[in-house]
Amino acid sequence: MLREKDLSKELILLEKIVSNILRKEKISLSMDMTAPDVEGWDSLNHVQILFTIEEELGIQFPINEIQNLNTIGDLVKLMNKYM
Amino acid sequence: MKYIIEPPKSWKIKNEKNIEENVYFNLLRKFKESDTIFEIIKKSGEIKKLNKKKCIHLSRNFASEIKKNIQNKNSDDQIKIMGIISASEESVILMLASLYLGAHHCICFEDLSPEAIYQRLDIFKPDIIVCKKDLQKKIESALAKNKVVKTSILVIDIEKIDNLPPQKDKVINYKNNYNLFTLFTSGSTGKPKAIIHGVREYLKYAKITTKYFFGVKRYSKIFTAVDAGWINGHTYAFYGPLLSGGISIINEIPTLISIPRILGKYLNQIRPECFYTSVTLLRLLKSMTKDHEKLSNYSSKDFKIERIGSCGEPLAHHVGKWAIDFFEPSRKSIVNTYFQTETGGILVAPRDEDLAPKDYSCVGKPLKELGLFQAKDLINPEQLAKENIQPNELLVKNYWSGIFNMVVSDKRSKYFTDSGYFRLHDVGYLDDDGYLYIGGRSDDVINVSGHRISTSEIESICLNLDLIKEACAVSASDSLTGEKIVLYLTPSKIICEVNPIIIKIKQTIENKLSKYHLPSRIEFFNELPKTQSGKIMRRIMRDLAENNYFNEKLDYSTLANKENFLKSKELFLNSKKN
Repeated sequence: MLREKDLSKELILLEKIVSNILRKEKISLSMDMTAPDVEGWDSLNHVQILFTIEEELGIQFPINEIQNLNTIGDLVKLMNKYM
Repeated sequence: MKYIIEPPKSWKIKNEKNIEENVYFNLLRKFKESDTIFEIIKKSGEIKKLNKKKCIHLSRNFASEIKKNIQNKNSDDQIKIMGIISASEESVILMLASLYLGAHHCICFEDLSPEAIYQRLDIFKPDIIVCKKDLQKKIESALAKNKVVKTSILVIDIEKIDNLPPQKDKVINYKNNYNLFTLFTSGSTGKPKAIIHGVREYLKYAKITTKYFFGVKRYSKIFTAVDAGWINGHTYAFYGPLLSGGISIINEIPTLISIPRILGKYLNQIRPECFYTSVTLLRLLKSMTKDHEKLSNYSSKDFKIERIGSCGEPLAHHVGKWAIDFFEPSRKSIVNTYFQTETGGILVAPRDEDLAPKDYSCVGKPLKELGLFQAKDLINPEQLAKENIQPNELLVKNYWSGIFNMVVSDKRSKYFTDSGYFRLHDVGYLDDDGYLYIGGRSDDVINVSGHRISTSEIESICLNLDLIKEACAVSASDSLTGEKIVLYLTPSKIICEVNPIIIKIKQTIENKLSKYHLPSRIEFFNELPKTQSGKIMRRIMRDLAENNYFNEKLDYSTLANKENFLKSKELFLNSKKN
């Protein structure tokens, strides 16, 4: 099982992407947060975040896996899986 | 108190007595048993095809389940079914089952808060509520509030329905006084309005407009990528295509479809002739494509879409131009549709015979038979002032068969002028060639991604909080959603920490209304600008929301509380500096 420390690179990248998309100064995320916990992370911004992650990492997430994301931690683990 | 608004007598079709309609049969008769009727992009990513045989099996079985779960219903009364359900395999089977039962259905968005569901239950008073498993708890909490409506909840489970032995109940016909469906929309009072459509005339209009504007015919595919709770989700994703013998594509992944590679993949696999979606989705898609990128970058070169369409809100020219460049459709005009829940179907849209427009924000040329005019062309200035109609508000002179049967509202909503013209409550103009351009709402309704949001809905929720003395919600433009909500508040007492209050306000708005009602910005003033009569000067706040600075060129002459407001202005500017 991945320890949180091992996912810090992905979490930092996600924070950078989310800060850019939501046009805020550095946003702090944690693994147990969900999208509604982050001001401005609505369904439209969610799509742009996913798209930007794919572009940055040169990957394509399978649709069924994107649909099953509940927490920031789920997204970070998904990023790690496909990197 | 509820008001029932109906079109004037002169607009009503003479009721033909003793005519019953087997809508279920009429909708499916153009298809053979093996013909696909729906192609569904499932949440899992797979595409599932439903042929006529499967649709009949599932809908007949589900109709039987619905009937078993309705208690104490007089067999002569029309069944009323509320579905709290997004566009999905479940929503189409529910609608078909409703038609099987000759029922009156009402589809609501899944995103509604329990409070908003309760308001709709109170007006519609369904015999049964249908939803997917994950929404059951939310609806139970809405029902717990509503002690008046006795109704049961039925969870729709396609696999379970499929495995039931074929049920043998007979189809129930629609009688003269039956309604087909209700959809809720926001009005300027803040309470939802029920827009009720009848059977025959609405279906006639759905079929004609689907064929005329989208060219849908037997076996052609139309992908109307909108939610089931919208009028387009009824007219152009369900009724219209079926009546024309066309195949409808239903999308269970609403926002993901705006990712270019995902859209390209599905358009390539499904190959619809027509792709019709919201302006917000087009903008979102545009934000994720690079300059000069085409759909063919994401799909095979041999696939060519015939036509694209847009709906929900005004389309900006640059977005329209981008869409034509990206999709490269055979038809060079976008079916940029203009209509409302109340109109049942498209009133105006560019037609095949219209050439590629100079400006893609144009919605086409209204047909002469409709009689669409600016109010000032039909009504004198004194009468306009008396009826509080803006000179450039759009009016319709002549009956069209898609118009609602009735509206149930808590206000005597002004749908018709004193002289009997239909009011669209949108402003617009016709250019020298007769092409129509829409300016926006003439009432206090904001259009956020196609969702009509009443400013007074939001304001009244804020004013119910002890902390808030005054509230003013206005719109500002947004590159993705078209418009966004900006909320200005004055507190009822001195506040030191603004952020906790903002969080509380947002939570309250989301709990009582929906996430679509959330303001993108909340700002505090010591006092809002008012006229002599104490009315908040919304135009000043709208200008501030749009520009985010005080416009010295605006006319402040009618401002009654100038001194206090200017002090507030200082505070506002100082807080911006900080």
